[in-house]
Amino acid sequence: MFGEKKVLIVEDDPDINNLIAYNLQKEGFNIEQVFDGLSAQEKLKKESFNIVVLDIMLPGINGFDVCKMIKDDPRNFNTFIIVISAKSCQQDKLYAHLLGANYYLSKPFNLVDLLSTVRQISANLDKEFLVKLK
Amino acid sequence: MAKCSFKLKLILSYFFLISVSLGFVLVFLDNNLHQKTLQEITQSLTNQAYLIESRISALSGPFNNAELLDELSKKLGQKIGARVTVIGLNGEVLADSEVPRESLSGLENHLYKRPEVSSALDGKLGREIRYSSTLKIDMLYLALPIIENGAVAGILRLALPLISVQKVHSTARKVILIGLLLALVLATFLGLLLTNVLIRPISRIINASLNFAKGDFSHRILEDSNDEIGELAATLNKMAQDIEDKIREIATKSQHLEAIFNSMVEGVIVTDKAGRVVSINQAVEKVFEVTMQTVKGKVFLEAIRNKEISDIVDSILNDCKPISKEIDLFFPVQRIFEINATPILSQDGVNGALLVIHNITEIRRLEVMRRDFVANVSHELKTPLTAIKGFVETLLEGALEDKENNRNFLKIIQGHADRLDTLVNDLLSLSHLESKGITINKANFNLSLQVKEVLRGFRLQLDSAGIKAVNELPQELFIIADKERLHQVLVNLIGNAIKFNKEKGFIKICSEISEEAIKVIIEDSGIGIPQKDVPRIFERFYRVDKARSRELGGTGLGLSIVKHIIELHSGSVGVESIEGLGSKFFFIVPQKNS
Repeated sequence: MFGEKKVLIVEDDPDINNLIAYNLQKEGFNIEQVFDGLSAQEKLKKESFNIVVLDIMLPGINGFDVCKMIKDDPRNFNTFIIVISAKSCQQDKLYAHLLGANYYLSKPFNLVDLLSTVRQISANLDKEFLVKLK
Repeated sequence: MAKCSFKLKLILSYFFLISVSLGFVLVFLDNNLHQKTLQEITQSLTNQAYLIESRISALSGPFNNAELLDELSKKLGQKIGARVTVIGLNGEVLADSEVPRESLSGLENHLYKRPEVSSALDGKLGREIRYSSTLKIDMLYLALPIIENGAVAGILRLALPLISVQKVHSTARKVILIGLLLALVLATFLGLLLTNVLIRPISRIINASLNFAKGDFSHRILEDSNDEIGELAATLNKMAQDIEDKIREIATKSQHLEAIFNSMVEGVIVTDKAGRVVSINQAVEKVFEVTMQTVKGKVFLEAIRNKEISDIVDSILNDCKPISKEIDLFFPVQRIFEINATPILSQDGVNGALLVIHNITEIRRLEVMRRDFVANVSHELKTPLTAIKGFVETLLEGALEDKENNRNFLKIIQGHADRLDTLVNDLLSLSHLESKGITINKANFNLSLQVKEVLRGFRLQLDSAGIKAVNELPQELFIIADKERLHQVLVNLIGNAIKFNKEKGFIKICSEISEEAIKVIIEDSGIGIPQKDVPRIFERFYRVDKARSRELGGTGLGLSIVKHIIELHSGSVGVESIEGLGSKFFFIVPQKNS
C-alpha cells in the first residue's frame, strides 16, 4: 500500500453510508462521507478523491449529475467512480457509464463485491504509482 | 305573362273556330240562297212571261193594234211589277210598260246588244242578268217569242230588278255577321270565364311549386276539383308530404350523428382530397382552440397549426394508407395524442382524410406514475435490504467480535427489518384500497371517542416530545363511516402531526359540522410544508424531507392511504400549511347517502 487513498462516500441512507465507511476504514482508506448531491459537489470542488462511491437516487442533485461533474473536472481524471444504486435497469447502467462511471453495483449489492472492486482499484493505483517511480 | 298568353291563346282559338265555321256558313248560304232565290224568281218570271205571251197571242192581230198592245203591256207590267216590253221582229219596240207610247219611237233598236232578244228570235227562251246602268241594279231579263200562226211574230221581254234577291242576300249576311259578332263576344266571355276557372287552380299550383322550390314543403295546395288539375294538386301535395317526411327523417338522423360527432371524447377531423378542413368536432375545437367557422375550408396547416398532423394528412392523401402515430403537443400544456388517420376512399381514388385524435396524456401519465411507483417501491425495498444484507455480511466478516459496534449493527438491522415490515404493510393496504370492488362497512360511531383512543395509543410519543394534544370534537359527535379505516386515517394524520411537530408543540383536533358532511381538522404546530410541495403531498412516496421522513420511520405512503380511504367515502382531503408554523390537515366525510 502506497500512501493513503481517499474515498468519498455519497449515499443518502446514513446506515448504508456508515456501513460502507466502516468496512472501507478497516481496509485502510481515508474516508469522507456526504449524504446528498449538493454536499458531494461542494466537497468535490475543494478536493479530489481516488475513489467515489456514488448513490444515484439522492435528494436534490442526483448521482448522475454528481458523476458528470466529477468527470467534467480534469483534476478528477484518475478518479474511479463506483455507482451503487437501486436502479438496476440496463438503461441506467449505460447512462452511468457514458457519464464516466467505472463500476455499477445494483442494490442490494454484496459487500464482498464492493470491497473486491475497491481493492482492485487500489492495486491498480499502486501499480501506476510504481511505474511512475521507476 | 304566361297566364295572359294562355287566355289569349284560348280566346284566339275560339275566335278561329267560330270564324271558320261561320265563314263556311256564310259562303254556303251566300251562294245557295242567291242561286235559289234567283232560280225561283226566274221560274216565276218565266211563268208570267208565258202567261203574258198567251194573252198577247189571244189578241187578234196584236201587232196591228198598237194601242191595245201598249195598254195590255202597261196593265200587266203594273200587275207583275216587272217591265214588259214587246219588240217587233225588226227590233223596233212596239210597246213598253214603262215608256209612254209617244216616246217609243225614240228608243234604240232592241235587236242588238241584247242576247236574250237574239235567242228569243231563234224561238228559244232567252234569259240574262245584266247590270242596269240607268237603275244601278242587277236586272233579270227574260225574252220569249210570240208565236202567231205557227211563226214568230214578235218578242216579249220582261225585265225585273233583282231587288228582292239582293235584299235576301244582305239580310242573310247581316244575320250571319251579327251572329258572328255575338259568337265572338260570347267566346271572349266564355274564354275569360273558362281560363279563370282553369287558371285559378293552376296558379295555386304554381304558387305552391314556388314555395317548394324555396324549400318550404309545409305548404299544401287546395284540392277542390276532381279533374286532372285536382289530380296534379293531389300528386304534388303527396310529393311535398313525402319530401317533408324524408327531410325530417334526414334531419333527425343528421342531428343524431351531429350529437354523436360532438359528444365524442376523441377529436375528429375530416378533410377533402386537397387537404382542406371539411369538418371538426367539439373535441378538436377544444384541443386546438379553434372553431368550426374559422377553420372550415382552410388548408390543414392554416387551420390547425401543427406540422406533424399536417404531414400525416399529406401522407394519407398521397399514399392512401392508414397511419397511426403518437404526437406530443407542447402548447399550451404538454399533451400526448394518438392519431389514427385513414383515407376516405371513393370509386375514383382518395376523396379525403379522416383523423381520429385520442388524448392519451392521462394514459401516459398513469403509465409514468405506475413506472415511477414501481421504481419507488423497488428503491424503498432495496435500501433496507441493502443495509440488512451489508450489516449481516459485515458481522459475519468479523464485526461480530467488534464489541464496540456489534450490538449497534444488530439494532440497525432490526430497524431496517421494521421499516421493511411497515413498508410492506402500507403497500398491502394501498394495493387493497386501490383494488376494484373494495367495499366499506359504514357504521354510525362516536368519532370523539375514536380520536381519544388514537391519542391514547400515541401517549408515549406525545409525552416524550412534550406535545400537547387537544381534542376539541363535541363529545357526542357521531359519524357514519367505516370505523376501522377511519381509525387508520386518524392514526396516519395524528402520527404525522406528532412526527413533524416541534418540541413542546401542540396538536388540535376540531370539526366543522354541517347537515351534509363532517369536516375534521387536525392542526399542528410543526415544521409545515413548503408551498411548492403542498399539491403533491398526497402522492405516493412523495416526501418533503426524505431523510427526516426515513429517520422518523415514514414510508411515504401514509397520506396516500388517507386520501384513498376518504375518497372511498366519497369525501375529500386537503391541507393548509405555512412553512415553519404548522399544518392543518382536514378530511370531509359526507353524511348523506347520495
